[in-house]
Amino acid sequence: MTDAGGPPGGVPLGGGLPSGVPPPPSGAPGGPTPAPAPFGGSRAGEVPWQRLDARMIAVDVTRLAGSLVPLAVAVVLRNADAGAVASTLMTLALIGIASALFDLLRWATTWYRITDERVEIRTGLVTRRHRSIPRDRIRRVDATAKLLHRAFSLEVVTIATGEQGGSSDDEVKLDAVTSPDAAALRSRLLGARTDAGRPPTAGTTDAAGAPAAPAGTEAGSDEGDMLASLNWRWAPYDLFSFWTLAIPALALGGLLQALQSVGVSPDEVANDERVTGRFSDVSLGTGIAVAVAAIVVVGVIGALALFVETWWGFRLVREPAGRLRVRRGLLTTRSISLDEARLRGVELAEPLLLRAAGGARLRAVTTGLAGAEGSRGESADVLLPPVPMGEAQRVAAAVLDEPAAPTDSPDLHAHPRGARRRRLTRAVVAGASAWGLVVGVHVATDGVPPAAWAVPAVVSVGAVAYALDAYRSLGHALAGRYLVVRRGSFARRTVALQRAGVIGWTVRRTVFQRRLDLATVVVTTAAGHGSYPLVDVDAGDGLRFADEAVPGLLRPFLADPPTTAPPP
Amino acid sequence: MNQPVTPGAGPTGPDTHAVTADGSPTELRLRPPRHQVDRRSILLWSVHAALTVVVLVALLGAAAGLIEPARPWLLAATGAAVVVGIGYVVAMPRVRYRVHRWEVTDEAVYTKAGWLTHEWRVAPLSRVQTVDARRGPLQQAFGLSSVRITTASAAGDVVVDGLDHELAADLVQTLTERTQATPDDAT
Repeated sequence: MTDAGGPPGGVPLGGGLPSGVPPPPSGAPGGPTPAPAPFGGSRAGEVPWQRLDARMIAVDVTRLAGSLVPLAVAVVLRNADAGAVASTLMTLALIGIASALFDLLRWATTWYRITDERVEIRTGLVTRRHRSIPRDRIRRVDATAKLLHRAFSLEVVTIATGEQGGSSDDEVKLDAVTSPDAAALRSRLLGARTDAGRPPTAGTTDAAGAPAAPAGTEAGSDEGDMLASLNWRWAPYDLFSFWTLAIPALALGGLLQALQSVGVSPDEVANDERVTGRFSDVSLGTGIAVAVAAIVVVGVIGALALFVETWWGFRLVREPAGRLRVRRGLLTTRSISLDEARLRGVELAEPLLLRAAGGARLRAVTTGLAGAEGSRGESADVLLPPVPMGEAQRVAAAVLDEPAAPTDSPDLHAHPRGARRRRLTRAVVAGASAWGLVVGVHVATDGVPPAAWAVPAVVSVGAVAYALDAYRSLGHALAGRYLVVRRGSFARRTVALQRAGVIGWTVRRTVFQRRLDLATVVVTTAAGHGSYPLVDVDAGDGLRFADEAVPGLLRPFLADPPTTAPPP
Repeated sequence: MNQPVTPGAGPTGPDTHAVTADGSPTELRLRPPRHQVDRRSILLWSVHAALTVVVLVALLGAAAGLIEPARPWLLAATGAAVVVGIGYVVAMPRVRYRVHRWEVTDEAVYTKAGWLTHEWRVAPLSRVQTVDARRGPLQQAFGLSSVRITTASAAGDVVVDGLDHELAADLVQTLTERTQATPDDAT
C-alpha cells in the first residue's frame, strides 16, 4: 500500500484544522515547500501557493534518460543500414524526450493551494490558467500512480466536482504529489465535511459479518470496513465480454503494423514459396480451427492479463469519514475515493454475455461522476470487476448499507402487455424490412445467392427474441428508501436510486403509447446518467409509482384524488 | 381546454392495475397545468414551420431541376412535401397550442409540451439551479420569450415556450426569488 505512511484516520475538518496547513511533507526530499506567490504578492495570512512535488524532476529526468536509449540504438542501427527500425525508434525517442521536457516545464509552471473554501491551481507559462474549485463541490478524489511514479512514491491526484458535462474544467489534476500527501488530500477534501448532512444510515458498520468479506478489516493495511476484496475465482467472468475477442484483433493489428514498419509485407509472407509449400496440404477446416483456437487462446490470455493488471489488489473499503474507496492495479495503481454523502444508489449492469454466465458488474450512482465514463473498469464509478450475481448483490447491499440489496428484487413489477406488443411490433417491422429488402434486390437483379435468404430469416428470429428479452427485462419497484428500475437486453441495467435523490419527473407519451394506455415515466436525478426511464409502463401505474416514490411532488398535479370514484 | 389529452384517457380499463399495493381501482391521471401559453405562439410556430417547409420544398425542387435522371421521383417527392408541409403548417401549431401548458406552484414547476408526443415535466423548485428567459429573433418579433429552468439533472431542462415576454420576465423573477431560498446545491 503506497499510502501506508499517511495520517491515521480522516483529518477533522470544517474549520477545525487551520486551513493553511499544507499536507505534511513526510520528510521526503523535495517535499512541498511554501513558495512565494508567483502571480502578484500574497496578503498576510493567505494560504501560500505550493509546487508539485520536486521528485517529478527525477521522474522526468528518468524518462529523458529512458528515451535516450532507443535514440542511441537508432543511431547504431542507422549506421548498420536498418533504416526502417532506426527511424521508428528515433521517432519514439524524440517523442519521449519532448514529452519529458514539456513535463518539466509543466512542473516548473504549476502552483496550487488548498484554502478553506477552494482548491486552486495555476498552470501555464505563455497561456496562464487559473482554475478554482469550491471545496463543497468536490465529489471524488482519485489517485493514480504509474510504474515510474511509484518508483518515486508519487501519485497523480485528480480532484473532481459534481458538474455535469465532464469537461476538464471540472477537475484539477495534481501530477504529482507524494503518496502521504495524496492520502492527506483525500482525507481533507472528502467526507469529513459532510458529517452533519450524511444520510442517517451511512457510516455505520456493516459487511464485517457478511459471508464473503475475508477477515473483515485487515490490520494495518486498511482502515474502515472492507466491503469487498479480490477473489481470483472472479477472473473467468471477466472473459465474458467483447474484449476477449477485441484483444486478439488488436494484437493482430499491432503485429501487422509492426511487421510493416520493419518492411515485411504480410502479402509477401503469405505468397512466399517457403510458406505456401509448407502449408499447402493443410485443409481449410483445419486452418479455420487453428485460427479460432489461436484467437481464443490469445483472447483468454490477453483478457486475463488485463484483469490482473486492472484488478490486482482490489479492495472496496468504507472509510470512517464517509468515503467509499476503491483501490486496485498491478503496475498502474489506482485509488478512487467517493464522497458517500453523494452516493444516490447503485447500478447493476448485465451485458448479454456476462448475463448468460450469471455475472454482473456494479457501479455507483453518484453525483460527480457523470462524464467520467471510460471503458473496461476505467470509469470512476466502477465498484467491482465482473462478479457472480450473488456477490454483486451482496456488495450492493453493503455499499448502500442496507440489509438486502434493493437491486435484488425478484418481484419487480412487470410492464403491461402493451409494452410487449410494442416490442414485437418493432421486431416484425424489422424482420419485414429485411425480407422486403432481399426480395426487392432479388426482383430488381438477376436474383440473390441462396445464402442471402438466411439474412432476413436470422434477422426475423433475432428481432423477435430480442423483443421478448427486452420486454422481460422491463421492470420497476419500490424497495425501502430506493426505487428500482430495470431495462435493456444487450446491456440489461438494474438501477436502485435513492428516492431522496429524485429531482423531478418527466412523463412522455407518444401517439402509439396513448393508444395502448402506456407512458414512459422518467426519473430525473443529479446522479449517474441523470435520468432513468420506466419505459412503456401502464400510465396509471407509472404515475402511482412516481407519486409513491416521492410523496407530495406529483400529487398536486394529479387529476383524480384517490377518494373520487373511478370514471365509468 | 375542453378535452385535454391526459394519461389515463386511453381506452384500457382499470383492470391492468392489479399490481398496485393498495389495490385502489382509481386510475391516476395528470391534470393539465393551469396556464395556457400565449396565443401568439400559434403564429410563431406557424412561421417556424412554414420556413422549415419552404426550405425543404425549395431544396427538393432545386434537386428536381438539376438532377435529370431522378426528376420524376424528385418531383413526386416535392409534391408530397408540399402536401404534407401544408398539413404540418396548419395542424401542428394548433395542436401544439392545445397541448402546451405551464404552471408554477410554491413547490414545483409543471409543464406540458409536444404535439404528437406529449411530455409532462415536474421539477421541484428546491432543485432548480438556474432560470433564464431566452428570445430568438422570431420570438422578439412576436413579443414572446421562452423560460428555461435548469436542474442538476443531465436529463434536460424544463422549458416553457411561448410566453409573453413581460410575463416571462416576471416568471424568471418569481422563480429566482423562490429558488434562492434553498441554500444547497440542488443535487
